[in-house]
Amino acid sequence: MKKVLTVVLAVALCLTAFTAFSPAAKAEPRVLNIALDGQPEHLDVAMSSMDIASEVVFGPVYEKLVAFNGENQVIPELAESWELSEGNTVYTYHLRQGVLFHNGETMTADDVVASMNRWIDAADNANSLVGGAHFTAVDENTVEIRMETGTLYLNEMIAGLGQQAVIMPASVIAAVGEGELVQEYIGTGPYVYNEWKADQYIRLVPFADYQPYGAEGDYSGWGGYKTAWYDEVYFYFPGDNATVVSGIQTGEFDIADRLNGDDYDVFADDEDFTIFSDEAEMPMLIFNKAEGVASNALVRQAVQAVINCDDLLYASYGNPDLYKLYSSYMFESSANWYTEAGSDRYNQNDPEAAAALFEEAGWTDSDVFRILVRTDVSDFYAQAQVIQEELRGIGVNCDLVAYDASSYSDVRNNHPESWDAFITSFGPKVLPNMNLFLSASWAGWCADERIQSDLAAIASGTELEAARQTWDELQAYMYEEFVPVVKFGSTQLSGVCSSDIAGAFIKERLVWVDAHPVNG
Amino acid sequence: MTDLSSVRRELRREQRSLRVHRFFRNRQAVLGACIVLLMLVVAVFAPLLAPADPLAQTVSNRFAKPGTAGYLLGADKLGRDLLSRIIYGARVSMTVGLSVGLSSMLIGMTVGLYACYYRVLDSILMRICDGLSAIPSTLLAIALMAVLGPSTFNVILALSIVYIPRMARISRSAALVVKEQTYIEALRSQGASATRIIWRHIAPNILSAVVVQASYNFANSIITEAALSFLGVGVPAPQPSWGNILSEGREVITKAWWMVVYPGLATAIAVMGTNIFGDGLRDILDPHTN
Amino acid sequence: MHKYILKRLLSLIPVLFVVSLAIFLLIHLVPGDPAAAILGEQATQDQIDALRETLGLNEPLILQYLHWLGGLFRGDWGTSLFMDGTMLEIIGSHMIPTLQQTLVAVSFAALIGVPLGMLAAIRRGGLTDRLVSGFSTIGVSMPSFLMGLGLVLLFSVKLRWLPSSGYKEISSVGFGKHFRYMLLPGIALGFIEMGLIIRMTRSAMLEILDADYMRMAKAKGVSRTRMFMKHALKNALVGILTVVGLSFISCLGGAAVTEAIFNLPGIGKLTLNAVMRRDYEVVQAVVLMVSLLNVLCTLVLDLLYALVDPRVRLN
Repeated sequence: MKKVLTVVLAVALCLTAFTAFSPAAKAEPRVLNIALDGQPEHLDVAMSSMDIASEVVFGPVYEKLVAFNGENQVIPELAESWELSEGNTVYTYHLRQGVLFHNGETMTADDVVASMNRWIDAADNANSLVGGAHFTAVDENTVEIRMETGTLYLNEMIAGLGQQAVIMPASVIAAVGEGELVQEYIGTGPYVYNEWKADQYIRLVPFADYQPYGAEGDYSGWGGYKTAWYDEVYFYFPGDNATVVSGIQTGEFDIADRLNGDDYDVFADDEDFTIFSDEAEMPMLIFNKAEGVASNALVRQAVQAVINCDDLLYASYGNPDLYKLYSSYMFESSANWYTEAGSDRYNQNDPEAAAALFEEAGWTDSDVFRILVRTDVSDFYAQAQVIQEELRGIGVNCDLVAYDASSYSDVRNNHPESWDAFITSFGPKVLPNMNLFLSASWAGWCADERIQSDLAAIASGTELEAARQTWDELQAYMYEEFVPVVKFGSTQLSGVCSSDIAGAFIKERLVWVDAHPVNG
Repeated sequence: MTDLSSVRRELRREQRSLRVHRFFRNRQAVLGACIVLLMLVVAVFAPLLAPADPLAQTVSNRFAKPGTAGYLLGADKLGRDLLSRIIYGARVSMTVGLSVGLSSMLIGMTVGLYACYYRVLDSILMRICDGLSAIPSTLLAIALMAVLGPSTFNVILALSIVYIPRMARISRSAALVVKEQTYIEALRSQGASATRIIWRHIAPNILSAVVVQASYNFANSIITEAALSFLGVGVPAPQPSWGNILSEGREVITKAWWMVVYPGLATAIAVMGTNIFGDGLRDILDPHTN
Repeated sequence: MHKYILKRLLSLIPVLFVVSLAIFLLIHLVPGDPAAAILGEQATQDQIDALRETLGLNEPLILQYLHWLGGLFRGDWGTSLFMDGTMLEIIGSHMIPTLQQTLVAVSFAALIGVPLGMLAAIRRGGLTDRLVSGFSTIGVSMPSFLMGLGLVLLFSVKLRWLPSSGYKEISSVGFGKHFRYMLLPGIALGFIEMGLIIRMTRSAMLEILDADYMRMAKAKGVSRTRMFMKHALKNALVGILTVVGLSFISCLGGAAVTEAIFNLPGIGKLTLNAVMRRDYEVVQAVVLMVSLLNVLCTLVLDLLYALVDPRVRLN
């Protein structure tokens, strides 16, 4: 009997061993299917700030000199270490050695200089922070940048700016003219850009020669030890919520990067799915300070007084859990800059005060307040309609001027005479100066002397505490007097994934895919 | 001369009563006429019929279900009454339908008539018409709307441009038949002015063909307006149009079916009514074409 | 015959010239530009202007038009500002879903429409006839986007039988799964054509049933079914074929709307996207291509008609 048992056991063991090593056992490639909230126009993320493009390539395909970890601290990535000079005017970066690009070239200082300078030329925020300075190569593995005035925040800018400071080969950059998009998407990350089937999907495959940085498993935020968990990663553009929801339910998609507020409940209590959220958007009404009725500060104050932020956000998100009401122009998460200064002017919902302000501004029945809207973003469109109704309620004429996305940019930038305000939203910024709505040159034209000089002081300041104080007072001034914008609140972005997957999260508007099977 | 014209008038009257008779015998046509009439009434008296202001929002009643107090057919994303919005939507559809029907008729007919009369003009105008009608109408309308920007007036303009070429073709071929007739030749040799011949003698004779086509343009422009608004390039919110309500409904189809079903029914009934009405018109005005 | 074909082909030249000019002017008159789409919403006007310059969008319009025309004569359809590959590759890969959808639509319309139309003709005046006619009226009055929404609501949202939108290639998922994605858009697109085919089949059949030779056959005592299959159907085929052909053409043009609803990566979607982000050369090439197909199909249909039916004279 014993003998028989032994034989059976031996055979069983052999069989197990055989199946374990037979090719059939590992035949199925591991595939990750992601539903993206739209199709990117291109993937040259250094040239323009586009969340969906960054989601596809920043992290998986492209890497930077430095990156943010999960606690918003700057950690080394392609730069092994860096030094700051006295007065913070010279930054020197020592590059990691032996890093390979996807085309087989080895990364050198020349590649970094070409990439960083292209980024500085394309990104206004970076350009003004470094005062037009450029990177130069010190030797094969060292680069530096020398600025006229010092700054404390260059690393934060590199790690956090929406226009990504990604490193690509100098040859790819040289192949196209100045200001043109690159033709090849070649980076240093764990995945290689493989195929883009227009209007269907983008596919990434693992980079065989990828050398992870740091200790295994030590991964956080956008930096650390990265692994290509999957044999293929597909980004699909399903186009509408119903498809995304049913696709996640049926397992056709593993991750959806954006979950509509109205679909939140579908997954909230279902343990087969995990919702990941991050407070990431700050929708606001931006006034045209250059010309038209809104160039009068009293009119701007009046509009600020009438707005009911709760209604506005409820109308477009449909679930109070998905947004927060607070006044700070900087996110709660940005510990250095969050401030409640001027908060009594936020979310006033006071039609009488508004009517009085309009009267004081000399508003007549023939005046019209025109909100520029783009037809393809339904949230902003809904919010514009709510504001229109609130103004109509106090007898103020308000028109919505609707355009498709391309005409909208044109009208907004080149025809300030035809609109008085528009709605858009901004993600978290590491520095108040990076908020475009405070820029004197961007649509809305915040060319107020005090605002611009205070912002300059903050950027060049070397004392954080003093800078914080300046920002505090500036925000109070903006709420009480200048009113460049009306902030509605801050909203969450949510994504959803199957509970079989760990490591997908959303941060600063981006879903970075360190997603991996739970027992992988 | 007086005798002859009185006889002719008598004949016309008789023919007309025959047509009216035929129309009323055609039950489908009567049904179509009733639907079109009903829509016109709804459009004209929308402020009296609608239970609420179509723009008034109560955000807390977002997506209220049909039957909720004050929302017979439910509420939309901003808590506006869907029934009132559909009623006001009839205004947009009727305005677009009638304007496009009329303008394409007037302009198309003029183009067709002059093309038939002047050979040089003919070859130029007809090449342009052929070119424009070679472009699929949905694509042409989308491109035109992108140029003009979304607004009700621009929808009318764009759709007129889309429908004029076919109308011009139809009027031209009808007019060519009339032009061949001997009495036109006779008038010409008597030295009657071109304008007079075109408008007094040719135009009345092609009217039935033109009116029938105009009624189809009416129906088609209601469809196309809804399609354009559905694609987001037509009538812009907050003005309610069936197409843009449907487009909002598309986004929430899993949780607010009423946003799709009711405006969809309204559109379907309207289009069916105008189509049947058009068929009826063709039966009485132009019986040979069937 | 050859002379006729040649004449017809030559007459296409001015038509296509008008199409090219019209679409070029249209798309260049649109405010906004691709530079804005490339650089994203938060770009400054200086950046946009610089990119416009490098993209050659600041050249005078007439020069841009001549460049384009010149390219066309050399067989160069232009390039996309956003997509890789030559224009013909782009159009080709987007044509596949459109053709697949059109194929489903036309098959659906013909398979339902032709039998119903014949049935109505045989039972002329009866209840069946009236029911079928009513059905065809509903058919011709049902715009594709309404039908599409209705189908999604019923089959995807309520019953969960079929996916609500999306596209899968046959090569990657097999025919069965591919077909599940094409079924709803195909029916939505084909419904209106089905209505037309019912009508046309019915009237074509009626015309032939009334013809003298049919009466003669009846008098000679040929059986009803045989009479139908052999004589009536054969003769009515010409008319039916024409309608089916015409519905193929109109499906090609009308696919833009169903492709938007069902998110199919077809020609209509390509055009819509290209218009929205001002990918000028794509809009120009696609519209010209579709118009060319349109007029060529019409021409082929005319010729077929002449071949099948000797009564049609070519002139």
